[in-house]
Amino acid sequence: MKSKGIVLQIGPFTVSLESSIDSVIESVNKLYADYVLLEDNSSLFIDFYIKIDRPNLFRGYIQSQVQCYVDGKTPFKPLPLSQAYPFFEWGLNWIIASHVHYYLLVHAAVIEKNGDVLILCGQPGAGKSTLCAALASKGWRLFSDEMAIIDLESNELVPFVRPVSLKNKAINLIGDLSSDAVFGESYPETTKGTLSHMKPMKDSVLRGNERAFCKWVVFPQYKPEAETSLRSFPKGETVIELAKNSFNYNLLGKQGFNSLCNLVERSQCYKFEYSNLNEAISLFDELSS
Amino acid sequence: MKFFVYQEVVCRQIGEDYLAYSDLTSETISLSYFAYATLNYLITEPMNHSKLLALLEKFFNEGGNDRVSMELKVTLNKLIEHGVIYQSSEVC
Repeated sequence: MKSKGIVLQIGPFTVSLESSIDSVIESVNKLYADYVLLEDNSSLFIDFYIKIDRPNLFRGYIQSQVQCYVDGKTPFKPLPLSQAYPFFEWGLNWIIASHVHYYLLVHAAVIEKNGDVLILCGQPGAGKSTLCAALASKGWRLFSDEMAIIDLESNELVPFVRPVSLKNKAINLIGDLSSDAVFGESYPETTKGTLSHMKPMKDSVLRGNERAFCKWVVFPQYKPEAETSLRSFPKGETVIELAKNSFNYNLLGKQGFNSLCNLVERSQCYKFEYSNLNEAISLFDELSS
Repeated sequence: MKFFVYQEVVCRQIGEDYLAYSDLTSETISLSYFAYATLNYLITEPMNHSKLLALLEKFFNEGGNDRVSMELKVTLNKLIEHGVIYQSSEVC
């Protein structure tokens, strides 16, 4: 990426990103290296325009801040300049969650193996991104570590492959687990602690158009010293929990309800507790075999 | 007075569980089998308390009719509270 900007096809969305900030350019060049860059011409329909730049002379230079412009508007307060790249990722999350209502969106990590999708849903801190990154680094195909995008008609999961956002201890855990894992910069002192992004595996990026159906819905919970345990969870409660974690379930009304019920109907549903990532990987590998 | 189901309500069985969704409240609620049966009777046809009770007593009579009557009262209150059904004297 040069300061002029680039156009990325990220899952079903065409995103234009512009920035003159070196750290953003370097991070995008590293973490999105396997993506096909689109030619920005008049025939290309761009879903979202994002610009990450200094807000104005005072905030931008004297206070070293950065702003995220979405379609020319500024829906956020500026952040410290050091968080310029994460601001792009957070901004993109916000855009999708608040504008895209032709899919059902659930806050969850999503991965796939042998054509079957595993949805990992849980509150922040439950360990879903860590588990997702661990499985993605051990042969599972990454769909998304941020949201499940569900086609309302077909009920398929739509890949939305982007760098996996890891926090605090999870960064070293995944680094130790996989020598292939490539990380971007570390961002200390964000509202979520230290943050770093793991580059998605090339295979996941190249297969970014391959949809699949859900087979498992799992609610993980990382607990220090916990035994690895997977236990069935009622389907009715699964629908209610997924609805609580959806960005647009209420907006979609009956269509959202039926879509979620159809997805859960075809899935095995579990609560999962873990503290040992290797045991967790073995368990899910066994489940998928 | 009859009990009616709001048009905006859908209910379905999922696995071994029963759910109802109301577009009025955007709420998804879990139903017992008894509540699911009650709601399905009312979806088929709005009816008054005594007719509904008579239908339910045929299928849920293990604990005696008093228990069915008590459970129906609790169920109807819950369904009204969650915006699933309403009571009206209107003719359907």
